[in-house]
Amino acid sequence: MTGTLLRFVCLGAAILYYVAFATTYLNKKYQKLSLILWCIGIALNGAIVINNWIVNGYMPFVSMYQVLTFLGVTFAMVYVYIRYMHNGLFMKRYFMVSQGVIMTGVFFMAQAAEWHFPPALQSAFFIPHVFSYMISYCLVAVASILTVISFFLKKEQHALYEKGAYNLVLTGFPFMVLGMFLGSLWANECWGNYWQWDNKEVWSLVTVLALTVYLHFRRHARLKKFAPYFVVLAFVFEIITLFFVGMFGGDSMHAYN
Amino acid sequence: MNKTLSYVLYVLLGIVTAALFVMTVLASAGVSGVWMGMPIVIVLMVFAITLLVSVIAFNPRKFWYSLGFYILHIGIVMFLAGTFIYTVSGTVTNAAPPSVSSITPAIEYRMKQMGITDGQIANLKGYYNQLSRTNEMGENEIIDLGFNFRVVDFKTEYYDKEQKNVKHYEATVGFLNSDGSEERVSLTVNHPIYRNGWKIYLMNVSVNEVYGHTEVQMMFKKDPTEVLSTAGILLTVLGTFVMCFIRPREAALTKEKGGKGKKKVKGGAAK
Repeated sequence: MTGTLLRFVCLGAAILYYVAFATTYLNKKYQKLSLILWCIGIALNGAIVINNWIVNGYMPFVSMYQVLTFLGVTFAMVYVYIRYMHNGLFMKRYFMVSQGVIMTGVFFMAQAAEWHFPPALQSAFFIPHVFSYMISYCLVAVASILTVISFFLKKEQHALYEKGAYNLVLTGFPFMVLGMFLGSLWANECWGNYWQWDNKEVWSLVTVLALTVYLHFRRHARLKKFAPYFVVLAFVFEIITLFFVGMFGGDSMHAYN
Repeated sequence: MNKTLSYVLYVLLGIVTAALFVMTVLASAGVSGVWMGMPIVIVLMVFAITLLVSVIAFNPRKFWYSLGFYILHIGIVMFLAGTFIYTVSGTVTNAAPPSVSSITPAIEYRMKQMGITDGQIANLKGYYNQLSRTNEMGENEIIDLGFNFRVVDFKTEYYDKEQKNVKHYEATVGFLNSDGSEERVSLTVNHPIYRNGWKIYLMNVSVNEVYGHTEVQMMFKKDPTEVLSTAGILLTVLGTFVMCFIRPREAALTKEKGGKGKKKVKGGAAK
């Protein structure tokens, strides 16, 4: 696919995600339409991922463009698990809008499907490390949306959203820990040390710790009221780790551009 | 674990997180030495003590939950212990031996023109069994590797003809056997090799500015705690999965209050 075509496909996916999201607020009879629009959006998003995969010949996880397009599809995969394992049907619209935001971001990026795979990334740890983080990022993103919405809801709905966020964090947290420690094992094979105190590493550690504080505070009667703020903080740290460290992180060892 | 103790431990965890956050912001803002001074040692010690106290004071009730708890927390303690022992007893040093194949007759001629003798050139192309490094006290130290090695060849593959994007680095390292024969091993990025307790890494490559031959930057590391640290990592991940996945989810999402069936959610997608 050419850059222009990719941009159109990306725009189509983003619009479909937003329309599917908006349709969930309509009458019950429109829910099937919402689902169909969402599936078409996922198919378009998936088409970009497959194109990136074929063009490069490796799983498209290297550039930010590749990561974000894959992240859009990951939201859908994660939702399927949450929907059927934790009855997370009411969370569907937040997955949709998250995908819409991501594909909007991708739309404004250079549609550089082809990207060289540098030697430092040619490791068996690469795919599980990135994919674990993707899964956890999706779950923490939606958990933080649910948490923020729960601040404005009344008792029963508040409890539902708060507990939904908790279940998402419980599912996403192990993957974040897995991603971080796979990165640590990889660093020991590539750079000769488990931990470098690199900017991206410490921001991801702070994200993990914020979620750790959330899970611990939530268990304690006196600290429970502070817990939700740590999910939102974790999401802010996640955004910093994913985007801003790469842009402003100076001499980060995680910059391969 | 009583409520006051758990309160103290949880608050300590919050303080450790806040301290690391502040240090991360400082480091990201370009403040140097944030991760080298006493503050980070204190933060890590508080973290380790919090972990140890929680492991000792925790009263397990549910089997899987307590199993996950112990695996996770002991795993972190093992990892921290491993990295601490490595900091005290481990050895790491760097070397940049020449790639023998890159010392061409033309480069040898240039070396001789600049006063390098045949013996010195032979030494440069020969085997190395000692490396020097500056230790923590700032003193120069000679490290005996216990084996002889040289870099026989170094290859760089590119994605493009302009040779801008590197596809692959590969060094061929020759180890001298006791019978005088040479064992050749491939060394690539991400795939270190082991020799006599040393882990040898390919770090980078450069061109000697004076003579123009290739210098292969390698790292030699002796870590007696690698097994402990790796086991700590694996236990931490395993414990986290056991704790988070076997722990029962919040029932409110799937059950009516005290009743059966799925909860009905107002407004929107829920059926």
